[in-house]
Amino acid sequence: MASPTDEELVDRVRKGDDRAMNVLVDRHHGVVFRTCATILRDEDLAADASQNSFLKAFKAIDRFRGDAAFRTWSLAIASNEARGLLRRIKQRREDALEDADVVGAEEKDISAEVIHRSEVERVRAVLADLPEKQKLSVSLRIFDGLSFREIGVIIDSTEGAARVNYHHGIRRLRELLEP
Amino acid sequence: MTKIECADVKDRLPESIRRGLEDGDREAVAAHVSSCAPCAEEVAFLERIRAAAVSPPPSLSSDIKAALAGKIDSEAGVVRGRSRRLVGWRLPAAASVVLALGTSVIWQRSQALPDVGPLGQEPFAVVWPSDDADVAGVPMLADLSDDDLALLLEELGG
Repeated sequence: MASPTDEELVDRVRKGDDRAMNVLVDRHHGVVFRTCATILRDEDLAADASQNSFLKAFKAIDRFRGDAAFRTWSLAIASNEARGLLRRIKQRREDALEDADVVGAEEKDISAEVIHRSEVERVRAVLADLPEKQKLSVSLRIFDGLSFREIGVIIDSTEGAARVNYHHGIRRLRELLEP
Repeated sequence: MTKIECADVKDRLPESIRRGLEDGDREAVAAHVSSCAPCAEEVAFLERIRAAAVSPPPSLSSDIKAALAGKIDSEAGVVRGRSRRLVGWRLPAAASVVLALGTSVIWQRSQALPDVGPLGQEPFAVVWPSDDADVAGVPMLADLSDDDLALLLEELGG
């Protein structure tokens, strides 16, 4: 028997079927987590943001009209959640730091540091250092195979802009990772 | 293949490395990559990037489900609690009991007030401050006997 589509599962969730909700979580928690981790650069925070994203998505499930896929819709919620969390963290950090030099030290170029890291850590560090739209375009396309149309919705841009961000991101990764 | 075909294949390489292409496309892309050095190099680079994907913690899925279940239970509990309080004969019955108790208390209070009599003919005029300077109440309370003070406290506390 074929597994139900996301649209069928969403319908069942609206009718109060909790098991359908769990299937959607199983299907999409990975990409939601990676999206949050790409924005936040912290896996613990990404896990928190992922959980909040699903809570918000299912709370608002009646407002989901099906214009986009459930995955795209939940990823848009997740990226908003992660950006909001990142803003609050930055604000708290700025409030706590009295010495502006400390901020400068945290934002220094990481390219010199990554030389001594493992291959995977180097790639992650360089990817994390890309502008947000570039790194989201690259990670959503390569890690999870999203179309440029879907990526455009998530980065709040057009399909064409998502494509351009992807290619710029790949080119920058080459520059930083290849001798 | 021509340069244009090469560009077309490159656009599909992310799906190709994730085994996300349909059978026909997969074979065509694989045939092109096997004979095209730049595309083969691109595949190797994309595989290198893909190896750096982070994986969610093993418990994340179950944590999210538990949080969702907890939220559903708490919301259902509110609804159930509300309906229990409002259902059928219980609301009018509760209102009747509250009304009866309230009337009884008011009646008892009105009967008890004259008992303050030992403080004088106009007990409240004596006890309650009429001047802001007396708000603390010390001058008046200091003049009361122990019995009068006990009676006053009993009345206020009762």
